[in-house]
Amino acid sequence: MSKITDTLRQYRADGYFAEFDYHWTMAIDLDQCTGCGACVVACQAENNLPIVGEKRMRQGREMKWLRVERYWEGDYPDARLSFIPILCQQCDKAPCEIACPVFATYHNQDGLNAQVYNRCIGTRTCAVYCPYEVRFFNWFTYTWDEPLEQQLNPDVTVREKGVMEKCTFCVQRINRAKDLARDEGRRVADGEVQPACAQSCPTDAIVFGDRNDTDSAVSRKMRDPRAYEVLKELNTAPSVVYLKNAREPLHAADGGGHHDGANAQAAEPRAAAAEPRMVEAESAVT
Amino acid sequence: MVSRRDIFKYAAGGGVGVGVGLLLGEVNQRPLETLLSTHIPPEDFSPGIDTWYNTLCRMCPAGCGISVKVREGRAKKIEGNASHPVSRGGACALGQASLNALYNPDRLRSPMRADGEGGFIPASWDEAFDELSARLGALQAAGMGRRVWVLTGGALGSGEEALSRFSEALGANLLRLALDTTANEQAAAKAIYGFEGLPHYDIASADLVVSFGADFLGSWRSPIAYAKAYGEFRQGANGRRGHLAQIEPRMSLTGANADEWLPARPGTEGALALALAAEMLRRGRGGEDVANWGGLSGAMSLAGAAEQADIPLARVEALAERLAAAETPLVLGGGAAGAGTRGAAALSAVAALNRVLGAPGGTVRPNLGHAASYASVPDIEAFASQAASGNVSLVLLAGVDPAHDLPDSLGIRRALERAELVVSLDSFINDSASQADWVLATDSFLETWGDDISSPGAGSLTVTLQQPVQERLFDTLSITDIVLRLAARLGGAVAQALPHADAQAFTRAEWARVWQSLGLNGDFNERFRLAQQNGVWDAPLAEGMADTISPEVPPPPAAPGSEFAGGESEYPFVLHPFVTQGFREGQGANLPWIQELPDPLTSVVYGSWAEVNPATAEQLGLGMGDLVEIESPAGKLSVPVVVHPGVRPDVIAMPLGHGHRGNGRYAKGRGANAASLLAAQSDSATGALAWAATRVALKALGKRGRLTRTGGLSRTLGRQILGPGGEH
Amino acid sequence: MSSVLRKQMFDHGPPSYAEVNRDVINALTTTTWRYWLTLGISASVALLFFIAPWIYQIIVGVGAAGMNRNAMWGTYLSNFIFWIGLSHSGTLLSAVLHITQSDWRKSIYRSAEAMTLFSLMTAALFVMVHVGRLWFVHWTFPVPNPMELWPNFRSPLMFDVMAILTYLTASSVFIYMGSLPDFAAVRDASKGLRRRIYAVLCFGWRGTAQEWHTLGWSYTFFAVLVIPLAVSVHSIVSWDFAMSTVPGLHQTIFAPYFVCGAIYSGTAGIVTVMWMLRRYMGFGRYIGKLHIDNLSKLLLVLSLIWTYINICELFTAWYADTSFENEAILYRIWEGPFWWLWWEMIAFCAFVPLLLFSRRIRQNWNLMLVISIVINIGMLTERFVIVASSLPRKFLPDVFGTYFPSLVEISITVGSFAVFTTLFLLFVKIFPAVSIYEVKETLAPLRKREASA
Repeated sequence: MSKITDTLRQYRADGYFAEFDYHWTMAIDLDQCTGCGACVVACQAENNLPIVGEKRMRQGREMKWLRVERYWEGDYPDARLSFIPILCQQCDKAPCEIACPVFATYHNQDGLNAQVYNRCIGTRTCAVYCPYEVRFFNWFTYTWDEPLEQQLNPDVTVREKGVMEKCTFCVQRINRAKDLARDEGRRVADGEVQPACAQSCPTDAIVFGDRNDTDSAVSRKMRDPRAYEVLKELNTAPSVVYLKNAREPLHAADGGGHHDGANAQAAEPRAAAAEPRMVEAESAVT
Repeated sequence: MVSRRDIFKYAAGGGVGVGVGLLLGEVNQRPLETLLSTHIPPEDFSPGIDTWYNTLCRMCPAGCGISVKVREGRAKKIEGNASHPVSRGGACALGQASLNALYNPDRLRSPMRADGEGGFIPASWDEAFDELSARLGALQAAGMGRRVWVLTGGALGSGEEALSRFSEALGANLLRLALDTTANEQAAAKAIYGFEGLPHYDIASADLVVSFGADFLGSWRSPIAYAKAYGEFRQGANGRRGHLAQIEPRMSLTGANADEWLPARPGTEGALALALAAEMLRRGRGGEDVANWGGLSGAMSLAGAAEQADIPLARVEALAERLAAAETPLVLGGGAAGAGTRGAAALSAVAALNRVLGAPGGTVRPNLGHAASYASVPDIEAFASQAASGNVSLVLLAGVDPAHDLPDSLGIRRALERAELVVSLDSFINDSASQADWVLATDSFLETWGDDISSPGAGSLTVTLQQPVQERLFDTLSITDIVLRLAARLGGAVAQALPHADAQAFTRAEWARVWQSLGLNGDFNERFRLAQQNGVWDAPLAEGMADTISPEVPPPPAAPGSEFAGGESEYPFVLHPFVTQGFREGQGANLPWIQELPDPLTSVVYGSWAEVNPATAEQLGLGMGDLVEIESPAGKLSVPVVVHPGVRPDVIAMPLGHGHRGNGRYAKGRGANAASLLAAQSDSATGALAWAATRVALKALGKRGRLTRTGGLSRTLGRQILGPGGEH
Repeated sequence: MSSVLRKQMFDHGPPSYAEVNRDVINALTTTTWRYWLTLGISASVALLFFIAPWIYQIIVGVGAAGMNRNAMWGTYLSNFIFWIGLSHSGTLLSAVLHITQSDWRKSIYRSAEAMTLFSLMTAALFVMVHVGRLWFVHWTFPVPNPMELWPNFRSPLMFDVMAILTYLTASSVFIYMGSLPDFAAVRDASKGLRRRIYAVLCFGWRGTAQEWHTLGWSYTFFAVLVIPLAVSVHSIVSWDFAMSTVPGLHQTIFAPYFVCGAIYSGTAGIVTVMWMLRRYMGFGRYIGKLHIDNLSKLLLVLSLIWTYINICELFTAWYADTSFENEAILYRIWEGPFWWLWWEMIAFCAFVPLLLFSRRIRQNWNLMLVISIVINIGMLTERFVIVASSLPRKFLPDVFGTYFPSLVEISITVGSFAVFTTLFLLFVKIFPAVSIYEVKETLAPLRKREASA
């Protein structure tokens, strides 16, 4: 019994996944993200996401592993909109992983939160437990109108009804890069593998890489003072790190202006992080 | 009696006979043609291995280089071409979704002819060419080439060159059509910077960008190039974070990302820019080149301009302060700000502000790419009146859909009805093609040859090569192929002008011609092969060619103010049509990935909407999704409203590109076409369509509209989602 | 138990041994057309409203239900919890009362336990209706396989499967064991095929002293075993919710809350079933004022506990004062589309049972029927409200959504009651619905006293 609890404790300890070869991590710089949606389409193209149709969209059954959330602040004319792309955070302490009764979702040695479509029986518990709501269920067996199916990526499975699916950090690309690196007897180089979203991003807001490599672009982004994790208070230890938008607070110019209750609450700790911060030259993304 | 010997003989004979017969049968068999042998596959075909082709994206005029992943002979994924100076590895939503056009279930699979009852029946290419060349030949013989009208878009490649040579040889009229043209910007560049063409804006090295209506992150000119530059502008290697101010009546994607958004009253942007220029001169920012402008006496005071634009004076003064202090400022103008009746003047005012700030030569540089000359409103009206008087015999629609994209008030739809023969060269039965007698099924740009002069070229001449990445899916031809074959059939001057076999030969010949005209030496074949590999030909330019900003002193611009169609009492709101990255003017509507991509600002999918300020909505008793009727002097439509704070209370904003009558299952009947509301207003200087100069009235219809949104609550409720310490 | 109480057990005076045998066995052997009609209706409703839409759903996918990206769980899961809850009282009550030697249980416990069994089965059906790929549902069992794929023992759903299966097994054995002497009695009273069937069912019960002794202690053993099981099952079911991070579900009070709610709704269910048995099976003589009065008192106590826990829930959310909890509660009780259901549930489960302070109401069978049904409607909506008002709004406001059950879900919900009724109707024709031998046990001292008087 103590062995089991020890193992579990070890599993829950911070940095557990650092022992392994890679710890894939994504950094999204919200100061560069424009909310254009190129990543959303890139993901759909790469991962064989179905075209669900308007009716299913109305029913709230969209299938977008990556979505751009948007939040308004203030009222006209002092209104401001912020974007934040939300995808599976590949949590190291993932709430979804304990949920699945059949182990269809588990943590792999690369720090990825993997989903085994074949094993899924569709209890949907993982999706309920996921605080980021990035798990998507196949309510139906989706089909592609001929000849749209000719676009489907042969490296990615097409899922059937009753199966949960989610962002994989484009695990097919990661595996390919790892195979290649292993054949050549080396580690996967920084920037060698990019998920579809990061590759397409027109502003290079999305940086992907190995956290265990302290010199990687993503590690440098993580050290940025603007770095934070979404819903950190839930202690999920996500593998997606966001860099806070460096815009000045909306009402800085007119001395605070009006704020609604929620903003007033949050106003105090804002000051430190809100300063438009320069990134050190070395942490630039190329 | 048969002997034993006979039996052996017969058996042996029969056996030999059967054997010979079988052998002959084998020999006579037709070889199998449909199976693809993997023993000797095409060189780019190995199962399980990706093949990448560098080519050109033709979904918008930006001319981005793309890399297409091909597996087992089918295009699978589009990425930005990392070695292309425009896209630099980035790809936008629309470009990536162009695969949906290639594999669209409603794409035409062969030429179609009208059946006379509103439908179309498949036909063969021979039939199509027979009829077309007969009609054209007859017109040509009768010397009535003027009665032929070729309508095309504004791209700049050799395909368009083929079209213009074709119409020239035929004596036909050529109209380049688009709703949002670059005519006003070209006019402003000529007036203030003194060069032909469009400027290149260096956003990356600017420390302050003030944009008057130019949605450069969303849809304006070259979104990928600008987005790449924006990434550096914000968190670039130079360790400096640029400041972005956006001045526009409706928050665009760029406005949403701006540090400050100043909702100016529509049509007042030019006056504001000029007032700021005068203020900069007062503060001594102007160089010697504008010394003769004096204090820009025609400009309003800053207070007057602020009041006219309905922006608090304090904010305008703060902006002036920033401009005065900026080291490398850049001012942009475009979108609706340049689409009023005084659009060219407004953009000239913006250019003047740049000139005062000393941006030319720094953040504003000339761009060698020649800019298209679009048809002006009088040109289009001439076509319409010719058609009305029965003088149009044949209309060739080369990849454009003016019946949808352009306002009805210009009369194009009626002109197409009156024309004797309408031939559409398109992949879909779109709104214009549904009025055609023939629809000639065209290739996807991923299946054929061509090129484009990419804009903005980064200080050099950038030509992007378009090459097929896969075999044709259907029985289709490219527009260039169709023109070349028609030319061959017509013979005479036309065939002489276009003697090439197909699009590939023509493209190659064009490149050789440019190669010679630029006086470049070296092995052309080798350069062409390299271009095929890299997808782009980037020729560095000589010193002298690069810097052509006129040192001449231009005359000071005048203070412009837009005029609107429709009286203010009858039509209390200004209609602000806007172009979105996905739909553009209608090009993205038949792509399911684009239809399913939530609009960045409103999260609407599958359909269009009208954006209304919360105060206006309250006044009219409107809630999210309520159906309204929008009426302008030119037409009316009904559409659901989206209430959000990113739009002025006196403005109704509507996305363009929706509301198709045809164009396939994903586009047909979705949303309403904002272009149909636009009055036939034109710019007073250039005659370009003034698509942001129409007033409208709004009437609640008292029922819910069909509005599908993916977003829930768009406030953070104090949750620290956007970072510790609240919202930003 | 005093003889006065014993007398109260039978409103119309204690029956004789023969009468007990006759009445109970009559219910098994005499089948009226009314029974057939009821069975026919309920079976066709089950077929039409439960089986047919379920088959449709299996064919098209779970999308036939109204669940969506936000609300991945819906009516199926809330119904599952409702039926599990309904199952709680029967066996638990029977076991507790057996151990505390409350004789009044004896005429009602058999049907109460049957209720447990059948609601558990209905609940298990809902698990199968709920999952996306029914055809792989056996993967939740630790079936040895060459790929060494085991269920995830960290998953509360896995605990669920184990707990429910254990409870189902224990409850089945418990009810079956208690029925052995009665099967023998039916065997003795019948002829032909029925005799042979019951001969098998009663395991050759002969009624020797040794047999009675063994039955006695093993029955008590199972009674002791079942009590912690019953408590654990609903605690574990509550962990399905509580182990998530969802505001409105992630609450430490959920285990006692669910157990209390389960016993509450189960007890109300027993009242309903008792009324039916009295009305249609002619057991009025065996189920009387004493039973209804005691059950009602139990209901009253449970309702007070339930109300207390609900107040606790609101209090902890208010005291935590995070945006997540505040919004979740506000959405549940005021802003959401199901606010009226929350208030309905409070009215039905917290206020209506206050009537039970009055003895007149407690002993009025018809009124109690109404109250028991009202309580269970309240409990059905309680589960629905918990699921439907928490899941659509979790952490990221931009993905806030709504959930409404689809026609398929509503139909399957309605149909599940028919499934339960059908199973119960079949039960009363196979099992003696009132325990013959235990009723006789209570009669013995009475008759002795009468004889001596």
